[in-house]
Amino acid sequence: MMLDDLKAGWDSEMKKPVKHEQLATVLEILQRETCKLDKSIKRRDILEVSIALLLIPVWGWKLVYSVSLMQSVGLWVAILACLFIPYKLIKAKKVNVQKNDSILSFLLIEKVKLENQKKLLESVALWYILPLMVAIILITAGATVDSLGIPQLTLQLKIYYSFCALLSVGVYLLNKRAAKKRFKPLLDKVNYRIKEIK
Amino acid sequence: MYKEFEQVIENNQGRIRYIASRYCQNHDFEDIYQEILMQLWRSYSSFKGQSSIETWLYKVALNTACTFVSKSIKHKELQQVLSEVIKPESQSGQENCQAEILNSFMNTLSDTDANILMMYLDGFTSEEITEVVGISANAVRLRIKRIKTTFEDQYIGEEK
Repeated sequence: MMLDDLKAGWDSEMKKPVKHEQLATVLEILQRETCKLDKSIKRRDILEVSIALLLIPVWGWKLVYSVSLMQSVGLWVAILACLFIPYKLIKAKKVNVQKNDSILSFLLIEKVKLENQKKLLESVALWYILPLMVAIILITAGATVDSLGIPQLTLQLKIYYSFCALLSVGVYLLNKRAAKKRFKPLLDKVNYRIKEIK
Repeated sequence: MYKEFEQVIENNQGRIRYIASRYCQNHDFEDIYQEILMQLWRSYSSFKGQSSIETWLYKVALNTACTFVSKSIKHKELQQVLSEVIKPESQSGQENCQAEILNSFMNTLSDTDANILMMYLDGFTSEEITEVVGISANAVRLRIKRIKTTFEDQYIGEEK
């Protein structure tokens, strides 16, 4: 038996009849579900950006009534963070993977996309936690400064900072774990496929 | 557009089914099948007819299948109807035997070689396979030659 002898078998496999009515139902549900999914992705993206952007006027308004230089600096950091965080998120999503590219170019673009997302999660401490923590500390501590400009931290504030620090460590570790568990196997898979094609 | 798409899926049902079954080792066959259909539907609006519909379909389906990760979101309603649609039909004895040989040989191949073999059996030219896989036509021809030799070694050897 030669390889070409299998062509007939392949052809009949390809020409198997389909259940027309059920296929129509599948496609109808498919269209509906895709539409629903697209809408929920769009909603999530808008929510991510709009929460950050809506906070900017709040910080701006607070800035007018700032009680100390320390608080003003904290509010500026918060405003910049509210611009920087959505920018980072949008930039990471910008890699446009087209499913109708050739397999090799699709995999190469997919690799860049996965690497970006992995880096984004691994560096979450720098672009997300750090600016927010600095802003929170400066805004709240800045509200307690005495006439010499030295913050007078109360016990409640110290507890609050400890809680924020714990939360930040938790967020950092969760993201680090997600980068390792979710993106590393995917990247390994994509790299393996690229190597196999080449 | 919807009617056209329905026609495309109807005409290429076998190809989609085969690709999904090839890549479903660790996942549900229906999951991959569903994902391929979704991606085909999403990409269909950007299909401009620069290549044949089969070439476009192979690209989308193989790209989806080879990077598929099982989703936590499952569309139950869709899966129910799908399981009915994709039930394999019974085949005649000879076709069944050929399909078994083809499947067992496919399982010995790497994913890239299996993809190339699918398109080769489907009557694609080396240039069309190049367009889908993204390697040179010479590399495609070389791989086909190697696949043929491997097949002959395995099956003609067995017959002897």
